[in-house]
Amino acid sequence: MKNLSMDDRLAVNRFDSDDHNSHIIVDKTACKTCPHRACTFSCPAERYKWDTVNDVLSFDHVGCLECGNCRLVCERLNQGIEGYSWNYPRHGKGIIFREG
Amino acid sequence: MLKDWFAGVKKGTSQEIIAEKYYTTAVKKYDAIIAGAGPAGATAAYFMAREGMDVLLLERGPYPGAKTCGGSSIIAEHVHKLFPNFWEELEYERLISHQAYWIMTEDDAIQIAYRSTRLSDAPYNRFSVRRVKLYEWLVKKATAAGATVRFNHHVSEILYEGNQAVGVRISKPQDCIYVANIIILADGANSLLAEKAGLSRRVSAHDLSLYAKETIALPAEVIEERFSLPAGHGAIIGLIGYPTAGFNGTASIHTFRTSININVGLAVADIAQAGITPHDLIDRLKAHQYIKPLIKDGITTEYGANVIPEGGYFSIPELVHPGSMIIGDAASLVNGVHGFSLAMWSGFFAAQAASKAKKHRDFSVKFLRLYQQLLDESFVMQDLRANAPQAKWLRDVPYFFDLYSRVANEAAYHITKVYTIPKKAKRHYIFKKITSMQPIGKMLKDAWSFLKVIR
Repeated sequence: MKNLSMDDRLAVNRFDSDDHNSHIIVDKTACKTCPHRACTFSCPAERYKWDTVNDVLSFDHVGCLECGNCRLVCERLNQGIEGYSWNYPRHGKGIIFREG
Repeated sequence: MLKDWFAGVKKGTSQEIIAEKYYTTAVKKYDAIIAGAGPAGATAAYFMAREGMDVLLLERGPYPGAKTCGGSSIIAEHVHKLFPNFWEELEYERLISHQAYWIMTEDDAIQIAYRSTRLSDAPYNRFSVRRVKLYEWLVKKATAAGATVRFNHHVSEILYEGNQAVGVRISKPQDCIYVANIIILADGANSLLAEKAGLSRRVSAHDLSLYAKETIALPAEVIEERFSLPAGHGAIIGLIGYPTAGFNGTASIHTFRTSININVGLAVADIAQAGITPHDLIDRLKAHQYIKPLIKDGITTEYGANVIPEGGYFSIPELVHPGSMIIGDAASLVNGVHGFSLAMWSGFFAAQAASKAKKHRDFSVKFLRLYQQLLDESFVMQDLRANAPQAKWLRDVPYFFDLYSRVANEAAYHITKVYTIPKKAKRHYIFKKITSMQPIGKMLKDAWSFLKVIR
């Protein structure tokens, strides 16, 4: 079995994305001062990436698996300081698991 | 909300103001509202509805199980006690008659398997089950018993009157309020509700494990052939050592009817430090020489991730509050052996307490405390209490799974291999080999701490 790229992996999942409202809010500029950037290597959907060209965080909430890992590894999301908030998508939007 | 309350207190009419504010928008007052239609929430809803209570079950997903993944299997003994002969109704995947543990390294694996036809007769032992089917069945039971269920309803906060929970707010687009005498939080491992309301402390990265799973579709006959199973039977294999790349954690293979689930998980704190992603671990495991042939020509049909509470007994929050109770994953009531069952029992116990509170028309902690009592007396808490030091131990001996699966495999290799030396010399040689990996004193110390923690 060949390994899939993250995009291909997420493409087999079913999503009903809320394109306009992100359920996770991060302050990308403030993230520059983060000492560990754990989100960029621990997110199981690779939603957080460090854009090395522009030296800024890139984040896309579409494709999020709603596991809650980032809220645990990121102190700012965990404490919900200004510019950061973590919530579940509203109205059943987001990932829809079918296989269990 | 607190602001309103203070404003009310100042004017001396707090109750009236709050009543006006909440009850004008609310349609009716339920006996109980349950946030989360998982195994805990749906079981609670079923048993409360059966007692004639007016129950509202709120679920943020579009159908039961849409927001969770991984695993899974159910223990017949438990579920049979709550729902007699459930196997006649529930659409399970396979009857588990093959349970195994593989202690793995890059090159080798010690495979310990137990297979028995005794496991395949009623009342059975274990069934593999897809979460969607299990949750759906539980919710159907609850609605058939009279509970009302609403999907796409994300509960954003609990509403209070003083310190008594009186209702919940649904986030946009509904943006409405439901009121009830009892609010039951069954919103899973990431219990934002309990945290926001200050009912539990903030979850820490140490108390939760991140599991990634991949579902791989294969024809039923192929699965039965590769795992050498009789038709309709299934295997569950626990994988230790290699899959978690040097950290303490576990991986597993669950066989479903026409697919298999590969799960790998380790503590969130470890993942954050390791610089290794959960999906890398899955790919690495899939490429292992003994796993590869099992999934050959399979097609990935779903990829997911989920956090599971593994903090154990010490991370269980205060479970009973005025007008509210916390059950299931939200209360850290899970462990590796019993899986869903602890969540289902907690739902059942909470339902008993709720029904007693309703009979006495007193929704303070006085009668709801019965939930805590029933849990404490049951095997649920006894097991969790016995395993209490486990979470800390896993942090204290971070090399345990990795090192000792290597040691075991090294020993197995030399025992298997035939040398042209006398038996006694071989034994001495193996002893030297193993103790070169870990000094004997340390090994004994670790073994002792392990025995103490699993007792």
